[in-house]
Amino acid sequence: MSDTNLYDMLKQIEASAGSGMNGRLLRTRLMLKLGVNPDSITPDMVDPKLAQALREFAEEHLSLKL
Amino acid sequence: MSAIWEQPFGLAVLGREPHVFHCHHYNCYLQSVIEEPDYLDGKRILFEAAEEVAAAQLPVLFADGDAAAKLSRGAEHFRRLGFGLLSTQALGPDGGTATVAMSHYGYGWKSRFGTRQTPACHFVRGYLAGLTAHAFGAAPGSYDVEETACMAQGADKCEFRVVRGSGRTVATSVSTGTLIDGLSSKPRSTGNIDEAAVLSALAGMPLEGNEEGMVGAFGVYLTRHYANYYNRVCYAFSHALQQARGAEMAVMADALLVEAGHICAFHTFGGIMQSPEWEGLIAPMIQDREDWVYGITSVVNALGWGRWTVDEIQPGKRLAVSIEGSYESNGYLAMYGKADRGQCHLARGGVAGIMNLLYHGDVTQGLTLDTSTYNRLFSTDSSFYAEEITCRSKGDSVCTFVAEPTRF
Repeated sequence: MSDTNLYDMLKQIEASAGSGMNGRLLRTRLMLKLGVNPDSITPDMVDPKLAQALREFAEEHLSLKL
Repeated sequence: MSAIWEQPFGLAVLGREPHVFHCHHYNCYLQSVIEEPDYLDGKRILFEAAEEVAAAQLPVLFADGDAAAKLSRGAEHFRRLGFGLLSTQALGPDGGTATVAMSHYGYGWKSRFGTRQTPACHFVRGYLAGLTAHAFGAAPGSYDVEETACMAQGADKCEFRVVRGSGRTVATSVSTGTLIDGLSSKPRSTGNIDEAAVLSALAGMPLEGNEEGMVGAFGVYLTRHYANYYNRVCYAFSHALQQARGAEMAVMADALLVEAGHICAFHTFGGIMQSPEWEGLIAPMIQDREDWVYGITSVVNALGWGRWTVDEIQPGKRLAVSIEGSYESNGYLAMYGKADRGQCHLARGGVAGIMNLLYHGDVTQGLTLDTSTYNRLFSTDSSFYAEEITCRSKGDSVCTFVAEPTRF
């Protein structure tokens, strides 16, 4: 995976977060971390800073290495 | 300590500052939310809120004596409130160093989340800045404090370097905030619970820091923390978020502040309801499951959170609670004026938490208060969630809450 493939990284995080209130809260927390609505991240989007934020979030909250 | 606690309208006030009991799970989760966004200076919000309350209270409590006496009393106060064992002997008018042998935030963070890469004791930094300024007769904001080692990073103790700064403006504490005129005299249902007896018994419990400065009770580490610290960090965070990313983001973040309340309820209420104190004091009065609701709200009324009243219970379906003079609304109104939405996020989480503990789980049969149980009780589509229907922060006379199963 490309280091800055935000969309794929986001989908991995969402899959790990799951459904239910817990999943919703994790997505809210992700929005807080990124400072933008995750829904605004599109497959062609590249942003190294957001990629780094996604990576940190995945590791800290889901123990997921991206 | 010669100061006397005052208890207006369900609050607990010492040296003109309202104090509230909260556990390390709440304290650390709340801090983690505020530190989360890299685009905000959450550490500064946490530090400055602590400095604000220390700068306001310490001169009231410890007006007399020389610098050494003020430092010593400030450290003793810190210990009694459950923040840890603070050593200030190496501090002078130009700064110096201080240590905390057991830090509520450092130890509590490690206990809840494991080690972290950066220091965690921002509250301690702010308290030390306020204490040092008071002790040496300097204006609030005269000292900067850096944490050079932290238990949350794996250190044996937390260490701090205090230096003279260029001078910062420190906000003036709102003290008890915008108080209510008085408590309602209309009859309140407390089921089969003798709330006056509960309050009287709890007032006699020695809930203060031990020789290590820790308050270990009900399976958690408690602090008798500053209400204005919580209010400032929550609302300054929300306002900074709104300024940086817009109102939608701030409203969204409310859910995380409510989540902090869920975590508080799960660990503290759940711990209380399974404690020997509950068994000895509340359990003998309980005749049905609803008495557990009345029992825990009676205990809440000893925490300094304002006066909670159960307005309606539909077993397994709905809980309506009103709070007269919630510490959150007292603070919000005095700090920021009228709000466009309810601001009692902690209370929302607490009200939902009672229902999840009793009707989504079954605390009456015993619950293991771990992550797995938490997720089972609070993170499903049928978990209870509370809305704040009216709030003094919006101009209402009382704050009211309804918890019902979520069903998103």
